[in-house]
Amino acid sequence: MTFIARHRRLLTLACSAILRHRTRHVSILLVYTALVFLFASVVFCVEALKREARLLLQGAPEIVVQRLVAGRHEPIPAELVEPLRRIPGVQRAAGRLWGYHFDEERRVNFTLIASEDPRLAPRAVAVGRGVARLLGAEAGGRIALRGRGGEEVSFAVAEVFPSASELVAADLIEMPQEDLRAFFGIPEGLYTDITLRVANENERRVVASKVRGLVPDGRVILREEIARTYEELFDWRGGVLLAVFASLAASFLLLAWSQAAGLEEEEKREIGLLKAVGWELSEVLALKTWEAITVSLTAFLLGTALAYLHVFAAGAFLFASLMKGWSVLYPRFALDPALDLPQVTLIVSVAVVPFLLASVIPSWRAAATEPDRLLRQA
Amino acid sequence: MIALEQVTKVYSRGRPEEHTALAAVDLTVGAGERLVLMGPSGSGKTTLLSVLGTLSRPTSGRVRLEGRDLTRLPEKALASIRRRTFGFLFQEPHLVRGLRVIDNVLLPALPVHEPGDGLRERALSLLGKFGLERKTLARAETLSPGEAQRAGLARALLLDPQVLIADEPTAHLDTARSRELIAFLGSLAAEGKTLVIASHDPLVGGAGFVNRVLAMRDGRILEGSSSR
Repeated sequence: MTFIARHRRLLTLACSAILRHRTRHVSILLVYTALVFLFASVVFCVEALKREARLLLQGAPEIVVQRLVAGRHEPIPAELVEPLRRIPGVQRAAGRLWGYHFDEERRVNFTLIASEDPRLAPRAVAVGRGVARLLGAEAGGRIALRGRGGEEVSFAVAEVFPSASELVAADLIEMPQEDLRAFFGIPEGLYTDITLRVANENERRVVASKVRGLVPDGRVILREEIARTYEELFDWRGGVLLAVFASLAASFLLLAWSQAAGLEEEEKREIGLLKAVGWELSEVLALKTWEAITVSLTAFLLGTALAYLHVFAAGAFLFASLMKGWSVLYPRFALDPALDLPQVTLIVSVAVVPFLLASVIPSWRAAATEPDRLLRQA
Repeated sequence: MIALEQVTKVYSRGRPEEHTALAAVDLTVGAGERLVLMGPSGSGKTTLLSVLGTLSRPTSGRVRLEGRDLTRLPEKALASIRRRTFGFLFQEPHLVRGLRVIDNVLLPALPVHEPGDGLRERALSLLGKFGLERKTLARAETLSPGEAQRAGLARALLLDPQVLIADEPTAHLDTARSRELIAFLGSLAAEGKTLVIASHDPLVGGAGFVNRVLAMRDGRILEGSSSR
């Protein structure tokens, strides 16, 4: 008999065994599917957020130079722009103005940044979707921010940023440089930081070290460091969730183990019967492995499919706030659907393999028992 | 054909509930012999059948099949011997619930059965012989006790074993069904099969095909057991 034909028969018998013991298998399947769903949701969410952050950072400057005084971020003199631009490998150097504005009434921080878009008229702003939602603003409307002296400063909303940029632009308010200087009281000749464009990836670290020589009290931030920070942040948030789910998963595995270890009388009798009629241990184990694989794969496919829909179609509503950030301005954006082999391998190895072991080992212990004893016990 | 030499079987050894089910039993069963073991419950009949049919290893002593010592064979080899040499008819038919009768009968061959090897036809033929031709597609749990016992007999005979081991085969059957089953066993004896049967039932002990009856008590075969 061919290997495939033998295992097809064993699989058929395994499926009928699952149906025979459906009460036990259905309850395990439901809990198992829920766990796979939660775990796969976190994996999908973390990977999609990291991918999203990487895509958005592609447009960011390769190097940012900030000035530190007593360990605190201070404005940086504009006269440093030109010397930095002359460093070999630097294509462009520009001063950047930005700052945080705390809205007392709504208990939320906005990020205000000077726009490089010349089309943005004085006293006009472009805002992120989070800001628009919170302030009830839309293009053509107006928003008011409380200035340094406590007076309300009104701006026309020229644009609301597209949703694709919401991960990093949810809390963003972009305005002309002059307006921002006036709003924060930053005099001419100072910037918040200086950005450098360095196209050649191999030159960035060399450029960074030269910047440190020119700006000894500066902090040099590479884009890849920001990307890494994002990745670590999302990994950490995912890790927190997974740590919570790990205890659930451990409980489930214990349940699966105890259920399998205390095999029903009927199952023990069946194993004893199979051995009595001449089945080898390996054949009994193959049958029990097929049973476990069938339950596992069903839970894996169901859980993964539900997680895919949850994350990519329903915006990961169960834990989106935790994954995207704790701010009042939760970014709302649709994650791009993606499923790759490492993610699937991770889900299979964490969700499927332990269950297989928890199911098959007790069956192996039963199958290694003399058939006479199994038939008598039952 | 099969020889038990000083076979002892102790259950729960070393525990307070330790129980000696077989005590230094010597027994030889020749090819084609029709042997019935009789004795009260707890006399060791079922244990003797289990040891003889390799369902259980003796605590001490040897079991030989055609001169080959089975006592220390690995489990894989014993499984192969069980599949090729022995057919078992248990006191309870032990049919798998939820499976069709035909699939229950084919169960011993499921991992090795080849399409076109005639086993399915043999299974159908055996079911026909035992009056179950209309029950082949029925679920096992829908059979009456008599039908289930006959389906169990069909399963035991599927791979044409040399030895049929039957443990209290008429225990759950009424007299008419018992006579019917005994007649089937007689037909197997006529085909030259070796039969080893444990039973309380005088109908079995007195059946015409039986050529030896042994009495057991307290794990021993009593002297003065009869041969015909």
